[in-house]
Amino acid sequence: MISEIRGSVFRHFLSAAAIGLIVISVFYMVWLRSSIKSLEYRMGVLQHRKAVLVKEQRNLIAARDNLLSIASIDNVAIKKMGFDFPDRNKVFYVKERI
Amino acid sequence: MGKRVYFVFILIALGFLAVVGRLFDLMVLNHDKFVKKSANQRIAEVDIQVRRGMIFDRKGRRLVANLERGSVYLDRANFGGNEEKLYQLAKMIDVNNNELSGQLKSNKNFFWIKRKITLEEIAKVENLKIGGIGITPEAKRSYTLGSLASHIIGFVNLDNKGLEGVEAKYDKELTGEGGKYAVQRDARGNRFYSEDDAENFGNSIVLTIDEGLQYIVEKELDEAMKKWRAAAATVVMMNPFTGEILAISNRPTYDPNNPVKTSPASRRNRAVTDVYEPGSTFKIVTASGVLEEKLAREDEKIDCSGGGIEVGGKIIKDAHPHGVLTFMEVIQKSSNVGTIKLAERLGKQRLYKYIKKFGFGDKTGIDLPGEVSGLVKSPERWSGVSIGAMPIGQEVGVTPLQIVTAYSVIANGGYKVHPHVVKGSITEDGTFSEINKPEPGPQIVSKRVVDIVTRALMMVTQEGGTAKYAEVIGNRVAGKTGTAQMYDRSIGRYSSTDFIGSFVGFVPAEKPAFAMVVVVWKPRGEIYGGLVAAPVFKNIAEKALTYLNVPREDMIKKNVLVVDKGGNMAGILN
Repeated sequence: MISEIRGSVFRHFLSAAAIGLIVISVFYMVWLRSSIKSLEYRMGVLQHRKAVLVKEQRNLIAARDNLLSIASIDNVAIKKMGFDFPDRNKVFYVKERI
Repeated sequence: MGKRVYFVFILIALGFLAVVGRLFDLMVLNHDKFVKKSANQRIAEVDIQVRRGMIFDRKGRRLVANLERGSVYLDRANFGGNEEKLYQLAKMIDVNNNELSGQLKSNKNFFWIKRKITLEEIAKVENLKIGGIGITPEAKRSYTLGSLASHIIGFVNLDNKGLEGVEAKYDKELTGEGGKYAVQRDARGNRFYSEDDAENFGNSIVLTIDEGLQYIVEKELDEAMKKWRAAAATVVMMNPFTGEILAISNRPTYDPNNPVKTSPASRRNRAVTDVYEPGSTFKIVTASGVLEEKLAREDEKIDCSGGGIEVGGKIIKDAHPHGVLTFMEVIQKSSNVGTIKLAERLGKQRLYKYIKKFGFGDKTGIDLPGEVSGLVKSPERWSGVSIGAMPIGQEVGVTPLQIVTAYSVIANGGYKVHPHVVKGSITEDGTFSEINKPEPGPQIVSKRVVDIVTRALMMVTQEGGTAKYAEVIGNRVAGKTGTAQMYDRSIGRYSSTDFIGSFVGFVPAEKPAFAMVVVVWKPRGEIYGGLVAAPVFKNIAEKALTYLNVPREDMIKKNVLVVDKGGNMAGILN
């Protein structure tokens, strides 16, 4: 009698557990899938932002190249800072004594 | 009670069956149809953005850039008709209202409103949210150095297709491959992450030119143009051993960022497109020819005392009368009489042979568009005067590039050399491939002849020579001046006012760092190559030799600091 009652309880428990497991699995799959989609959205936004930043970077590199061109450096160094082009008369040679 | 329970149970079961049946219908029976529909809605094909390859100088310095821009267009199918907002947009991005209304009336389904606007302007346009207005990303080629090396680099058109210079010659190499790639998006058009590349790059090109040398050349040429109020000028600087072009500069010049605002004359690369009579710079052909054929010796004396020589019924004179000159002095003092006497020993067939050997009358094959072959008549078409005119650089047309290439033969020990402006290309993954391998060409004249001619050319820049203004501090220059009258078509003969002054040479004479030609068209004030072009050569050469760290040959002892090992100064060498 007791064993029958225990068997019955056990069967009910297993049934409930099985149903619970199925429900939880379904919810977990749905949650996982929506997380992945959410990540894909975020990555898509970041990818777009990266593309925009790369474009800005390229434009800045071009502006930097222009500023670092020899003509610009010459303009600043010679005309504004008083530098001069090396004079071949003022070249010194350094010789190591053996 | 039991029956009702069963009835409800059956109803619920039927409901579930209906749902399962519908799911079966959607997911199994019509599976393919809905997968395709979903893909159509979800997946979009987008154009791969193509970015033109870079152009670098020989030291890896970038000479061009691709600016990120966008082009605004109108798609009439999706345009809501809000013209007021459209004109607001036009004002914002500086588009002419009349032009825009003309386009609107034209019934075109698609037209560009403005090409290549800045990122800031794109943001403003997007904020207006006008239906039917779209923006396509497009790169704009930017020449960050302005007019520097413009005749070598060239420029592109609005569709980034090369039209001049290296941009045109290597257009295929520089242009990336287009195509499409797939992106996933949701119902609102938001894009998901995509692993595919959104852009492709063309190969980059590495030039042989040096930005520093190019700048030195251009600056000095500007000074010369100002000083001599010349109509035009050209400088070509070349490595005589490898044929690598280190600098090419022409005046007038142009800014490749705005090529349409300049004249075609400014955009012309005179170094390869313009032909001129080289005058006395052509005398190395006769000098080399007679020495190679052993028809003259360097210590031989030639009588130039007549001051003129009759050739084909005409008298050709020296600029200044000379007496008896040695072979070397004929070159040093640029005697026409002496040169013609030597040429007569060669004869027209052998003279023609050496003219062609030195590359005149043929294209050099440089990798720039527009090169011409110059003008050299075959001996059958020579007149009675030609044997006198051609040796002194008349009745022959050469380009500045041809003349410096010919002098490179003497500079490098007698070998033909192939000039080029591109070293190689770099693929997107960074692999470098050489395009023009500097290989030695066939030997044209022997070392013995080269040595003698070089010594003669060195005498030209010393006291007694025609080009002492080409003398460079600390290093010996070998070179030749040229002064030629320009032919005036309007009067049908040579002009008495328009001349071409030139100087071509190499320095240091015995181990040249570079060969260079300076050509000045229609200088005012002075006409002689020795006065107009030679000083330009000197100014450029001095700065270039310093830039290249070429040591002086006449090391001044008081300028030597002696140091111990470890760099401590031990004294000054006296």
